Amino acid sequence: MNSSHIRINIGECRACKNGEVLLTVLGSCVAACLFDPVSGIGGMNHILLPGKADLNHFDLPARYGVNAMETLINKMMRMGADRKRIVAKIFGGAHVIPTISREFGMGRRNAQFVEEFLQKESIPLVNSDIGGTDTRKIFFRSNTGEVFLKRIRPNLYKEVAAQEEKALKTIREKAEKAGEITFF
Amino acid sequence: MAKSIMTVDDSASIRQMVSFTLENAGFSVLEAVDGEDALEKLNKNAVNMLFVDLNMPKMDGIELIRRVRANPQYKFVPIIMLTTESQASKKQAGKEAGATGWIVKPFKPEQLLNVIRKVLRE
Repeated sequence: MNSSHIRINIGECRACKNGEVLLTVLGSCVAACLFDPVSGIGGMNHILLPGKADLNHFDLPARYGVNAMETLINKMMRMGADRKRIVAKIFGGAHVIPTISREFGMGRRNAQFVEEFLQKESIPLVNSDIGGTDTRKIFFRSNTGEVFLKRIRPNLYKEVAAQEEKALKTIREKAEKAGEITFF
Repeated sequence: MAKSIMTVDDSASIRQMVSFTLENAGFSVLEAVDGEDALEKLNKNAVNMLFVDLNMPKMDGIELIRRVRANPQYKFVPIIMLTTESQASKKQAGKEAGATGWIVKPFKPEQLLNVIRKVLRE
C-alpha cells in the first residue's frame, strides 16, 4: 500500500486540498466522498449511525449523522470550498450480517440516511455504489473526485463486519455526548 | 405572544433541527441561510434571540454578529454561536464580535432549551 494514502476509520473524516488519496474499507458503513471541482478540495467521512435516523424528528441517530456530514462540509469550506459547488459520491451500506433482514440492516439505514441528507441539502449525488453483500475498498483522489473501488467477497473479509459491530458500541456512547457550552 | 428566535445556518438540516426543537417548545422561529440573508430579515422582523453558525458563504457568523451589534436595537439581544468549531481562537473572535455564548455541535434539544431559558430568563 502506498504510504501517501490517508486511511479514514469509522467515525473519522478528513478534508484535503493537495490531491491526497483517501482510503477506506466499508462493510455496512457508508463513506461520503465530497468534492468541489473548482477549488479541487475534497473530503471523505466514514459513517456508522448509532441507530435508524429519523430526519423528520431529528432523533439521536439523525443528529449524529447530520453532525458527521456537517463536520466534513465545514472542514472543506474552511479550506476554501464553496458549499454550492460540492457534489457527492457515496459507497458502502452493504448487508454484512446475514442473520438480520436487509430491511432492518445497518447497511440499509446508513445509506438511506446519507441519501436523504444530500437531498435535503441539495448536494448532487453524481455517483454511488451501495447495498449488496460485498465489502468495498475505496480510494478517493481528493482533487479530481475520482474513485477506485475494489470489491471484496464477505467471506474473505470477515473482520470488517466484526469491527463494525464493535465500533457500534463506541459510536452509541459518543452519540450520547453533546458539545460543550460556554457563556461569555 | 411567543418569543421569536432566529436560526442562521447554511445547512438546511441544522436549520430544520433548530426550528423543530424551538417550535415544539412554543417559540416562533425565523430561518436565515447566511449572514446577508439574516441582516435582511432582521430589518423587517424583530427577534428576541439568535443562534448563529460560524462558517457560512457570503457572510460568516462573526461578521454577522458585528453587524447586528452595530444596530442599537440589537445591542443587547442574546446571540449564541452554534458551530462545529471548538478552538479557543475562534471562540475569542466570537466573544470580541459580541456573542453571548458558544455551543459546540452536536447539540441536544434540551441543551438548546436550557440555554434559551438562561439568556431569556424564561
